[in-house]
Amino acid sequence: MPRRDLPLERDNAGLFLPAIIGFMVFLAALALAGSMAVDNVLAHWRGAIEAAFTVQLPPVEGESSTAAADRRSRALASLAGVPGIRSAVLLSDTDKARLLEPWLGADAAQLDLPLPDLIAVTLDSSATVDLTRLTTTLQGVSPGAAIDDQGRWRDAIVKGAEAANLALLGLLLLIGLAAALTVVFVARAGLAAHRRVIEILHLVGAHDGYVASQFQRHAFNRGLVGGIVGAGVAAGIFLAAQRWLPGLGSSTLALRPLQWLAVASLPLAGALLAMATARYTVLRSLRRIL
Amino acid sequence: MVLFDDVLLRYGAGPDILHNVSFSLAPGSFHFLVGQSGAGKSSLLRVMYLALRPIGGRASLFGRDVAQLSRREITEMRRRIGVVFQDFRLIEHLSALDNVALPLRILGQRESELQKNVRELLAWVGLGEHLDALPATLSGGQQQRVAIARAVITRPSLLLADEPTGNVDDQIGLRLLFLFEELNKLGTTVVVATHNESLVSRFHHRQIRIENHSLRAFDPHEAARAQSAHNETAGS
Repeated sequence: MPRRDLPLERDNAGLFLPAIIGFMVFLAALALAGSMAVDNVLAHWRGAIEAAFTVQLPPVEGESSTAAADRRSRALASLAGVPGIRSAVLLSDTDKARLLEPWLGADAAQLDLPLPDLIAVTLDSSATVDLTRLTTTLQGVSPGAAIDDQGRWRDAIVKGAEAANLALLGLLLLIGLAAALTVVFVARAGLAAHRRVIEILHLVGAHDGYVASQFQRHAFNRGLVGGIVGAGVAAGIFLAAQRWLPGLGSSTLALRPLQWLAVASLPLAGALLAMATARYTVLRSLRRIL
Repeated sequence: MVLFDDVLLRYGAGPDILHNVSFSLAPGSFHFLVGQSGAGKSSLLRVMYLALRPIGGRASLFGRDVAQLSRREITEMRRRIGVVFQDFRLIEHLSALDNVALPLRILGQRESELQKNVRELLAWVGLGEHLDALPATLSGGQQQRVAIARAVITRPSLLLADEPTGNVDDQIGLRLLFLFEELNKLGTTVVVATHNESLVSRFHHRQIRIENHSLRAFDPHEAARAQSAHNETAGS
Protein backbone atom coordinates (compact mmCIF):
# COMPACT_ATOMS: atom_id res chain seq x y z
CA MET A 1 0.00 0.00 0.00
CA PRO A 2 1.42 3.43 -0.91
CA ARG A 3 2.64 5.39 2.09
CA ARG A 4 0.98 8.63 3.07
CA ASP A 5 3.27 10.12 5.67
CA LEU A 6 2.25 13.59 4.54
CA PRO A 7 -1.43 14.46 5.08
CA LEU A 8 -1.68 16.24 1.72
CA GLU A 9 -5.35 15.39 1.34
CA ARG A 10 -6.12 17.80 4.19
CA ASP A 11 -4.43 20.80 2.57
CA ASN A 12 -6.74 23.66 1.70
CA ALA A 13 -4.82 24.41 -1.48
CA GLY A 14 -4.98 20.74 -2.47
CA LEU A 15 -8.76 20.72 -2.20
CA PHE A 16 -8.96 22.95 -5.28
CA LEU A 17 -6.62 20.82 -7.34
CA PRO A 18 -9.26 18.41 -8.74
CA ALA A 19 -11.57 21.32 -9.56
CA ILE A 20 -8.87 23.29 -11.34
CA ILE A 21 -7.45 20.32 -13.24
CA GLY A 22 -11.01 19.28 -14.04
CA PHE A 23 -11.78 22.72 -15.46
CA MET A 24 -8.57 22.71 -17.51
CA VAL A 25 -9.34 19.26 -18.90
CA PHE A 26 -12.90 20.42 -19.60
CA LEU A 27 -11.59 23.34 -21.67
CA ALA A 28 -9.00 21.17 -23.40
CA ALA A 29 -11.59 18.51 -24.21
CA LEU A 30 -13.98 21.06 -25.70
CA ALA A 31 -11.18 22.65 -27.72
CA LEU A 32 -9.88 19.30 -28.93
CA ALA A 33 -13.31 17.90 -29.79
CA GLY A 34 -14.30 21.13 -31.53
CA SER A 35 -11.09 21.24 -33.50
CA MET A 36 -11.37 17.63 -34.56
CA ALA A 37 -14.97 18.20 -35.62
CA VAL A 38 -13.95 21.20 -37.73
CA ASP A 39 -11.11 19.13 -39.12
CA ASN A 40 -13.62 16.48 -40.14
CA VAL A 41 -15.74 19.06 -41.98
CA LEU A 42 -12.70 20.51 -43.71
CA ALA A 43 -11.55 17.03 -44.70
CA HIS A 44 -15.01 16.36 -46.12
CA TRP A 45 -15.00 19.59 -48.14
CA ARG A 46 -11.48 19.02 -49.26
CA GLY A 47 -12.36 15.52 -50.43
CA ALA A 48 -15.32 16.86 -52.36
CA ILE A 49 -13.15 19.51 -54.06
CA GLU A 50 -10.38 17.09 -54.86
CA ALA A 51 -12.83 14.63 -56.36
CA ALA A 52 -14.05 17.11 -58.99
CA PHE A 53 -12.77 19.60 -61.55
CA THR A 54 -14.13 21.69 -64.40
CA VAL A 55 -13.00 21.70 -68.02
CA GLN A 56 -13.36 24.95 -69.93
CA LEU A 57 -13.59 24.85 -73.70
CA PRO A 58 -13.31 28.40 -75.07
CA PRO A 59 -15.37 29.22 -78.18
CA VAL A 60 -13.51 29.12 -81.50
CA GLU A 61 -14.07 32.18 -83.60
CA GLY A 62 -15.97 31.57 -86.81
CA GLU A 63 -16.72 27.97 -85.93
CA SER A 64 -20.06 26.58 -87.05
CA SER A 65 -22.47 25.19 -84.46
CA THR A 66 -22.04 21.69 -85.97
CA ALA A 67 -18.25 21.89 -85.69
CA ALA A 68 -18.59 23.23 -82.12
CA ALA A 69 -20.88 20.35 -81.16
CA ASP A 70 -18.42 17.91 -82.73
CA ARG A 71 -15.53 19.50 -80.75
CA ARG A 72 -17.50 19.18 -77.47
CA SER A 73 -18.30 15.53 -78.24
CA ARG A 74 -14.63 14.76 -78.89
CA ALA A 75 -13.64 16.46 -75.62
CA LEU A 76 -16.26 14.43 -73.71
CA ALA A 77 -15.02 11.27 -75.43
CA SER A 78 -11.43 12.09 -74.40
CA LEU A 79 -12.53 12.47 -70.79
CA ALA A 80 -14.59 9.30 -70.84
CA GLY A 81 -11.51 7.28 -71.76
CA VAL A 82 -9.47 8.44 -68.74
CA PRO A 83 -9.28 5.90 -65.87
CA GLY A 84 -10.61 7.28 -62.56
CA ILE A 85 -13.13 9.68 -64.11
CA ARG A 86 -16.57 8.70 -62.93
CA SER A 87 -18.59 11.20 -64.99
CA ALA A 88 -18.15 14.15 -67.35
CA VAL A 89 -21.26 16.27 -67.92
CA LEU A 90 -21.51 19.22 -70.28
CA LEU A 91 -23.27 22.12 -68.56
CA SER A 92 -26.31 23.49 -70.37
CA ASP A 93 -26.71 27.20 -71.17
CA THR A 94 -29.22 27.42 -68.32
CA ASP A 95 -26.68 25.94 -65.86
CA LYS A 96 -24.02 28.41 -67.06
CA ALA A 97 -26.48 31.32 -66.73
CA ARG A 98 -27.18 30.21 -63.13
CA LEU A 99 -23.45 30.25 -62.40
CA LEU A 100 -23.16 33.78 -63.82
CA GLU A 101 -26.27 35.08 -62.16
CA PRO A 102 -24.51 36.46 -59.05
CA TRP A 103 -22.37 38.70 -61.29
CA LEU A 104 -24.56 39.43 -64.35
CA GLY A 105 -28.05 39.22 -62.87
CA ALA A 106 -31.12 37.18 -63.78
CA ASP A 107 -30.87 38.15 -67.47
CA ALA A 108 -27.49 36.49 -67.95
CA ALA A 109 -29.01 33.82 -70.20
CA GLN A 110 -30.32 36.47 -72.58
CA LEU A 111 -26.96 38.19 -73.03
CA ASP A 112 -25.11 37.26 -76.15
CA LEU A 113 -21.73 36.58 -74.62
CA PRO A 114 -19.02 34.29 -75.97
CA LEU A 115 -19.09 31.99 -72.99
CA PRO A 116 -16.85 28.90 -72.87
CA ASP A 117 -18.39 25.46 -72.71
CA LEU A 118 -18.03 23.93 -69.24
CA ILE A 119 -17.72 20.22 -68.48
CA ALA A 120 -18.19 19.17 -64.82
CA VAL A 121 -15.98 16.16 -64.13
CA THR A 122 -16.24 13.96 -61.03
CA LEU A 123 -13.65 11.37 -60.05
CA ASP A 124 -13.82 8.08 -58.28
CA SER A 125 -13.15 8.73 -54.58
CA SER A 126 -9.59 7.41 -54.51
CA ALA A 127 -8.63 8.22 -58.09
CA THR A 128 -5.83 10.57 -59.10
CA VAL A 129 -5.65 11.98 -62.57
CA ASP A 130 -2.65 13.60 -64.26
CA LEU A 131 -4.26 16.96 -65.00
CA THR A 132 -1.31 18.34 -66.98
CA ARG A 133 -1.38 15.44 -69.37
CA LEU A 134 -5.18 15.60 -69.61
CA THR A 135 -5.01 19.32 -70.41
CA THR A 136 -2.60 18.61 -73.30
CA THR A 137 -4.91 15.91 -74.61
CA LEU A 138 -7.94 18.22 -74.39
CA GLN A 139 -6.10 21.07 -76.09
CA GLY A 140 -5.42 18.69 -78.99
CA VAL A 141 -9.18 18.30 -79.34
CA SER A 142 -10.32 21.81 -78.43
CA PRO A 143 -7.81 24.69 -78.72
CA GLY A 144 -7.39 26.68 -75.54
CA ALA A 145 -9.00 24.01 -73.34
CA ALA A 146 -8.20 24.49 -69.64
CA ILE A 147 -8.83 22.64 -66.40
CA ASP A 148 -9.88 24.38 -63.18
CA ASP A 149 -9.21 22.05 -60.24
CA GLN A 150 -10.39 24.59 -57.62
CA GLY A 151 -6.84 24.76 -56.26
CA ARG A 152 -7.52 28.21 -54.91
CA TRP A 153 -10.31 26.91 -52.67
CA ARG A 154 -8.40 23.82 -51.69
CA ASP A 155 -5.39 25.90 -50.63
CA ALA A 156 -7.63 28.19 -48.59
CA ILE A 157 -9.16 25.19 -46.84
CA VAL A 158 -5.75 23.65 -46.14
CA LYS A 159 -4.48 26.95 -44.75
CA GLY A 160 -7.63 27.32 -42.67
CA ALA A 161 -7.23 23.83 -41.26
CA GLU A 162 -3.56 24.45 -40.50
CA ALA A 163 -4.35 27.73 -38.76
CA ALA A 164 -7.12 26.07 -36.74
CA ASN A 165 -4.80 23.26 -35.68
CA LEU A 166 -2.07 25.74 -34.76
CA ALA A 167 -4.54 27.74 -32.69
CA LEU A 168 -5.64 24.53 -30.97
CA LEU A 169 -2.04 23.62 -30.20
CA GLY A 170 -1.47 27.08 -28.72
CA LEU A 171 -4.66 26.82 -26.69
CA LEU A 172 -3.76 23.38 -25.37
CA LEU A 173 -0.28 24.63 -24.44
CA LEU A 174 -1.79 27.57 -22.57
CA ILE A 175 -4.23 25.29 -20.76
CA GLY A 176 -1.38 22.91 -19.90
CA LEU A 177 0.75 25.80 -18.67
CA ALA A 178 -2.07 27.12 -16.50
CA ALA A 179 -2.63 23.64 -15.06
CA ALA A 180 1.10 23.20 -14.41
CA LEU A 181 1.32 26.58 -12.65
CA THR A 182 -1.61 25.59 -10.47
CA VAL A 183 0.13 22.36 -9.49
CA VAL A 184 3.34 24.31 -8.75
CA PHE A 185 1.38 26.58 -6.42
CA VAL A 186 -0.34 23.65 -4.70
CA ALA A 187 2.93 21.72 -4.32
CA ARG A 188 4.71 24.75 -2.86
CA ALA A 189 1.84 25.37 -0.47
CA GLY A 190 2.04 21.70 0.54
CA LEU A 191 5.78 21.95 1.09
CA ALA A 192 5.33 24.99 3.28
CA ALA A 193 2.45 23.44 5.23
CA HIS A 194 4.30 20.19 5.88
CA ARG A 195 7.81 21.50 6.25
CA ARG A 196 8.13 20.06 9.76
CA VAL A 197 7.07 16.56 8.69
CA ILE A 198 9.32 16.71 5.64
CA GLU A 199 12.23 17.69 7.88
CA ILE A 200 11.49 14.70 10.12
CA LEU A 201 11.31 12.41 7.09
CA HIS A 202 14.71 13.69 5.97
CA LEU A 203 16.21 13.24 9.41
CA VAL A 204 15.06 9.62 9.62
CA GLY A 205 16.61 8.87 6.24
CA ALA A 206 14.09 9.71 3.53
CA HIS A 207 15.49 10.68 0.15
CA ASP A 208 13.95 13.62 -1.69
CA GLY A 209 12.38 11.09 -4.04
CA TYR A 210 10.47 9.51 -1.15
CA VAL A 211 8.94 12.87 -0.27
CA ALA A 212 8.35 13.80 -3.91
CA SER A 213 6.63 10.47 -4.59
CA GLN A 214 3.94 11.34 -2.06
CA PHE A 215 3.31 14.72 -3.67
CA GLN A 216 3.29 13.27 -7.18
CA ARG A 217 0.88 10.46 -6.22
CA HIS A 218 -1.43 12.97 -4.59
CA ALA A 219 -1.32 15.25 -7.65
CA PHE A 220 -1.93 12.31 -10.01
CA ASN A 221 -4.91 10.97 -8.08
CA ARG A 222 -6.50 14.37 -7.63
CA GLY A 223 -5.77 15.37 -11.22
CA LEU A 224 -7.22 12.13 -12.59
CA VAL A 225 -10.46 12.48 -10.63
CA GLY A 226 -10.86 16.12 -11.70
CA GLY A 227 -9.87 15.30 -15.27
CA ILE A 228 -12.41 12.49 -15.62
CA VAL A 229 -15.19 14.76 -14.42
CA GLY A 230 -14.02 17.60 -16.68
CA ALA A 231 -13.72 15.43 -19.79
CA GLY A 232 -17.06 13.76 -19.01
CA VAL A 233 -18.85 17.10 -18.77
CA ALA A 234 -17.18 18.32 -21.98
CA ALA A 235 -18.17 15.12 -23.83
CA GLY A 236 -21.74 15.50 -22.57
CA ILE A 237 -21.92 19.10 -23.78
CA PHE A 238 -20.43 18.16 -27.16
CA LEU A 239 -22.88 15.28 -27.63
CA ALA A 240 -25.80 17.46 -26.55
CA ALA A 241 -24.71 20.16 -29.00
CA GLN A 242 -24.48 17.61 -31.78
CA ARG A 243 -27.97 16.41 -30.97
CA TRP A 244 -29.73 19.71 -30.38
CA LEU A 245 -27.96 22.28 -32.56
CA PRO A 246 -28.90 22.14 -36.25
CA GLY A 247 -26.00 21.26 -38.51
CA LEU A 248 -23.75 19.96 -35.75
CA GLY A 249 -25.36 16.56 -35.88
CA SER A 250 -24.19 15.90 -39.42
CA SER A 251 -21.99 12.90 -39.92
CA THR A 252 -19.13 15.11 -41.12
CA LEU A 253 -18.95 16.82 -37.70
CA ALA A 254 -19.35 13.69 -35.59
CA LEU A 255 -16.15 12.42 -33.98
CA ARG A 256 -14.75 9.07 -35.00
CA PRO A 257 -13.91 6.43 -32.34
CA LEU A 258 -10.20 7.30 -32.39
CA GLN A 259 -11.03 10.96 -31.93
CA TRP A 260 -13.21 10.13 -28.93
CA LEU A 261 -10.28 8.11 -27.61
CA ALA A 262 -8.10 11.24 -27.87
CA VAL A 263 -10.67 13.19 -25.83
CA ALA A 264 -10.92 10.33 -23.34
CA SER A 265 -7.13 10.32 -22.88
CA LEU A 266 -7.11 13.96 -21.71
CA PRO A 267 -7.79 13.14 -18.02
CA LEU A 268 -4.81 10.81 -18.01
CA ALA A 269 -2.69 13.43 -19.78
CA GLY A 270 -3.80 16.03 -17.22
CA ALA A 271 -3.03 13.71 -14.32
CA LEU A 272 0.41 12.85 -15.74
CA LEU A 273 1.16 16.54 -16.24
CA ALA A 274 0.13 17.23 -12.63
CA MET A 275 2.26 14.34 -11.40
CA ALA A 276 5.37 15.38 -13.33
CA THR A 277 4.98 19.03 -12.32
CA ALA A 278 4.53 18.14 -8.66
CA ARG A 279 7.60 15.91 -8.69
CA TYR A 280 9.75 18.51 -10.43
CA THR A 281 8.58 21.30 -8.10
CA VAL A 282 9.14 19.27 -4.94
CA LEU A 283 12.56 17.95 -5.94
CA ARG A 284 13.67 21.42 -6.97
CA SER A 285 12.40 22.99 -3.75
CA LEU A 286 13.85 20.31 -1.50
CA ARG A 287 17.33 20.84 -2.91
CA ARG A 288 17.34 24.19 -1.12
CA ILE A 289 16.84 22.47 2.25
CA LEU A 290 19.85 20.92 4.00
CA MET B 1 33.39 6.84 13.89
CA VAL B 2 33.12 10.55 14.79
CA LEU B 3 35.89 13.10 14.56
CA PHE B 4 35.56 16.81 15.30
CA ASP B 5 38.61 18.93 14.71
CA ASP B 6 38.44 22.61 15.75
CA VAL B 7 34.79 22.75 14.81
CA LEU B 8 33.27 26.21 14.83
CA LEU B 9 29.54 26.80 14.65
CA ARG B 10 27.70 30.08 14.56
CA TYR B 11 24.17 31.09 13.52
CA GLY B 12 24.46 34.04 11.15
CA ALA B 13 26.30 36.94 12.74
CA GLY B 14 25.56 35.72 16.28
CA PRO B 15 28.04 34.51 18.87
CA ASP B 16 29.88 31.19 18.58
CA ILE B 17 27.65 28.25 19.44
CA LEU B 18 30.54 25.82 19.27
CA HIS B 19 34.02 27.18 19.62
CA ASN B 20 37.00 25.13 18.49
CA VAL B 21 35.49 21.83 19.53
CA SER B 22 37.71 18.81 18.99
CA PHE B 23 37.06 15.23 19.99
CA SER B 24 36.70 11.80 18.50
CA LEU B 25 34.53 8.81 19.32
CA ALA B 26 35.63 5.27 18.73
CA PRO B 27 33.23 2.80 17.12
CA GLY B 28 31.17 1.00 19.76
CA SER B 29 31.84 3.55 22.48
CA PHE B 30 29.28 5.02 24.88
CA HIS B 31 29.52 8.68 25.88
CA PHE B 32 27.48 11.06 27.91
CA LEU B 33 27.48 14.62 26.59
CA VAL B 34 27.02 16.72 29.70
CA GLY B 35 26.72 20.39 30.41
CA GLN B 36 24.25 23.03 31.46
CA SER B 37 21.22 23.91 29.39
CA GLY B 38 22.26 26.25 26.59
CA ALA B 39 25.88 25.13 26.71
CA GLY B 40 25.73 23.86 23.11
CA LYS B 41 24.93 20.16 23.56
CA SER B 42 21.98 20.18 21.15
CA SER B 43 23.92 22.15 18.54
CA LEU B 44 26.79 19.68 18.78
CA LEU B 45 24.33 16.84 18.22
CA ARG B 46 22.75 18.70 15.28
CA VAL B 47 26.11 18.82 13.59
CA MET B 48 26.51 15.11 14.31
CA TYR B 49 23.16 14.23 12.73
CA LEU B 50 23.93 16.45 9.77
CA ALA B 51 21.24 19.04 10.33
CA LEU B 52 23.90 21.75 10.56
CA ARG B 53 27.23 22.24 8.86
CA PRO B 54 30.06 23.81 10.85
CA ILE B 55 31.39 27.09 9.50
CA GLY B 56 34.92 26.23 10.53
CA GLY B 57 37.10 23.25 11.30
CA ARG B 58 36.39 19.73 10.16
CA ALA B 59 33.70 17.29 11.21
CA SER B 60 33.75 13.77 9.91
CA LEU B 61 31.45 10.80 10.38
CA PHE B 62 32.14 7.22 9.40
CA GLY B 63 35.41 8.40 7.91
CA ARG B 64 33.82 11.02 5.65
CA ASP B 65 34.20 14.80 5.91
CA VAL B 66 30.62 16.04 6.23
CA ALA B 67 31.43 19.15 4.18
CA GLN B 68 32.16 16.93 1.19
CA LEU B 69 28.97 14.90 1.32
CA SER B 70 26.45 15.14 -1.49
CA ARG B 71 22.78 15.43 -0.70
CA ARG B 72 22.25 11.73 -1.40
CA GLU B 73 25.24 10.75 0.73
CA ILE B 74 23.88 12.80 3.63
CA THR B 75 20.64 10.82 3.43
CA GLU B 76 22.52 7.53 3.26
CA MET B 77 24.56 8.55 6.29
CA ARG B 78 21.47 9.59 8.23
CA ARG B 79 20.15 6.07 7.74
CA ARG B 80 23.03 4.87 9.88
CA ILE B 81 22.25 7.39 12.62
CA GLY B 82 19.39 7.13 15.08
CA VAL B 83 18.35 10.36 16.74
CA VAL B 84 16.19 10.97 19.80
CA PHE B 85 15.18 14.60 19.61
CA GLN B 86 14.62 16.68 22.68
CA ASP B 87 11.25 17.78 21.29
CA PHE B 88 10.52 14.22 20.10
CA ARG B 89 9.59 15.29 16.54
CA LEU B 90 6.87 12.73 16.13
CA ILE B 91 4.53 13.00 13.19
CA GLU B 92 1.25 14.08 14.68
CA HIS B 93 -1.16 12.35 12.31
CA LEU B 94 0.62 8.99 12.51
CA SER B 95 0.00 6.46 15.28
CA ALA B 96 2.77 5.42 17.67
CA LEU B 97 3.22 2.26 15.60
CA ASP B 98 3.46 4.18 12.31
CA ASN B 99 5.90 6.68 13.80
CA VAL B 100 8.21 3.92 14.92
CA ALA B 101 7.79 2.00 11.66
CA LEU B 102 8.63 5.08 9.59
CA PRO B 103 12.42 4.53 9.26
CA LEU B 104 11.87 0.91 8.28
CA ARG B 105 9.27 1.84 5.69
CA ILE B 106 11.62 4.46 4.28
CA LEU B 107 14.23 1.73 3.98
CA GLY B 108 11.69 -0.31 2.05
CA GLN B 109 11.23 -3.11 4.57
CA ARG B 110 8.21 -5.32 3.97
CA GLU B 111 5.15 -4.63 6.10
CA SER B 112 4.93 -8.23 7.32
CA GLU B 113 8.51 -8.05 8.65
CA LEU B 114 8.41 -4.65 10.28
CA GLN B 115 5.09 -5.04 12.11
CA LYS B 116 6.43 -7.73 14.45
CA ASN B 117 9.62 -5.79 15.28
CA VAL B 118 7.81 -2.52 15.86
CA ARG B 119 5.17 -4.10 18.10
CA GLU B 120 7.84 -5.89 20.14
CA LEU B 121 9.90 -2.76 20.62
CA LEU B 122 6.90 -0.64 21.59
CA ALA B 123 5.91 -3.32 24.09
CA TRP B 124 9.45 -3.27 25.47
CA VAL B 125 9.33 0.46 26.10
CA GLY B 126 5.96 0.01 27.81
CA LEU B 127 3.69 1.18 25.02
CA GLY B 128 2.24 -2.15 23.92
CA GLU B 129 -1.21 -0.87 24.79
CA HIS B 130 -0.80 2.35 22.84
CA LEU B 131 0.15 1.12 19.37
CA ASP B 132 -2.62 3.03 17.62
CA ALA B 133 -2.49 6.12 19.78
CA LEU B 134 -1.74 9.44 18.14
CA PRO B 135 1.13 11.41 19.74
CA ALA B 136 -1.25 14.13 20.96
CA THR B 137 -3.06 11.58 23.12
CA LEU B 138 0.16 10.37 24.78
CA SER B 139 1.91 11.92 27.77
CA GLY B 140 5.31 13.59 27.35
CA GLY B 141 7.08 10.52 28.68
CA GLN B 142 5.16 8.22 26.38
CA GLN B 143 5.97 10.41 23.39
CA GLN B 144 9.61 10.34 24.39
CA ARG B 145 9.56 6.54 24.43
CA VAL B 146 7.98 6.49 20.95
CA ALA B 147 10.76 8.80 19.79
CA ILE B 148 13.38 6.50 21.32
CA ALA B 149 11.80 3.43 19.75
CA ARG B 150 11.85 5.17 16.36
CA ALA B 151 15.54 6.06 16.81
CA VAL B 152 16.64 2.53 17.65
CA ILE B 153 14.31 0.45 15.46
CA THR B 154 16.86 0.26 12.63
CA ARG B 155 19.70 -0.64 15.03
CA PRO B 156 21.78 2.34 13.88
CA SER B 157 25.57 2.46 13.91
CA LEU B 158 25.44 5.75 15.79
CA LEU B 159 22.73 6.71 18.27
CA LEU B 160 22.39 10.32 19.35
CA ALA B 161 19.96 11.10 22.13
CA ASP B 162 19.17 14.64 23.22
CA GLU B 163 17.87 14.64 26.82
CA PRO B 164 16.15 11.27 26.33
CA THR B 165 15.19 11.00 29.98
CA GLY B 166 13.99 14.55 30.40
CA ASN B 167 10.28 13.72 30.54
CA VAL B 168 10.26 10.37 32.31
CA ASP B 169 10.67 9.31 35.92
CA ASP B 170 13.97 7.86 37.10
CA GLN B 171 12.79 4.27 36.80
CA ILE B 172 11.75 4.67 33.15
CA GLY B 173 14.87 6.79 32.53
CA LEU B 174 17.08 3.96 33.78
CA ARG B 175 15.18 1.46 31.69
CA LEU B 176 15.71 3.57 28.57
CA LEU B 177 19.41 3.94 29.30
CA PHE B 178 19.65 0.17 29.72
CA LEU B 179 18.11 -0.12 26.26
CA PHE B 180 20.86 2.17 24.94
CA GLU B 181 23.46 0.00 26.71
CA GLU B 182 22.04 -3.11 25.08
CA LEU B 183 22.32 -1.45 21.70
CA ASN B 184 25.84 -0.36 22.57
CA LYS B 185 26.77 -3.96 23.37
CA LEU B 186 25.54 -4.89 19.89
CA GLY B 187 28.03 -2.41 18.41
CA THR B 188 26.12 0.87 18.26
CA THR B 189 28.11 3.97 19.21
CA VAL B 190 25.96 5.94 21.67
CA VAL B 191 26.03 9.60 22.62
CA VAL B 192 23.51 10.71 25.25
CA ALA B 193 23.23 14.43 25.88
CA THR B 194 21.86 15.22 29.31
CA HIS B 195 22.11 17.69 32.14
CA ASN B 196 20.96 15.04 34.65
CA GLU B 197 24.35 14.32 36.18
CA SER B 198 22.90 12.16 38.96
CA LEU B 199 21.66 9.74 36.32
CA VAL B 200 25.01 9.90 34.51
CA SER B 201 26.85 9.05 37.72
CA ARG B 202 25.02 5.70 37.92
CA PHE B 203 26.78 4.54 34.76
CA HIS B 204 30.47 4.13 34.10
CA HIS B 205 30.68 5.63 30.65
CA ARG B 206 32.98 8.36 29.43
CA GLN B 207 31.79 11.93 29.47
CA ILE B 208 32.20 14.81 27.09
CA ARG B 209 31.67 17.96 29.07
CA ILE B 210 30.69 21.11 27.24
CA GLU B 211 30.75 24.49 28.93
CA ASN B 212 30.29 27.87 27.36
CA HIS B 213 30.27 26.32 23.90
CA SER B 214 33.65 24.62 24.27
CA LEU B 215 34.83 21.24 25.48
CA ARG B 216 36.26 21.56 28.96
CA ALA B 217 37.26 18.05 29.79
CA PHE B 218 38.11 15.15 27.60
CA ASP B 219 40.45 12.26 28.25
CA PRO B 220 43.38 12.85 25.84
CA HIS B 221 44.44 9.18 25.99
CA GLU B 222 40.95 8.15 25.02
CA ALA B 223 41.03 10.72 22.22
CA ALA B 224 44.27 9.32 20.91
CA ARG B 225 42.91 5.76 20.95
CA ALA B 226 39.73 6.91 19.24
CA GLN B 227 41.71 8.84 16.66
CA SER B 228 43.65 5.71 15.85
CA ALA B 229 40.45 3.67 15.55
CA HIS B 230 38.92 6.40 13.40
CA ASN B 231 41.86 6.35 11.04
CA GLU B 232 41.45 2.61 10.70
CA THR B 233 37.76 3.04 9.89
CA ALA B 234 38.51 5.73 7.32
CA GLY B 235 41.23 3.64 5.77
CA SER B 236 39.11 0.50 5.49
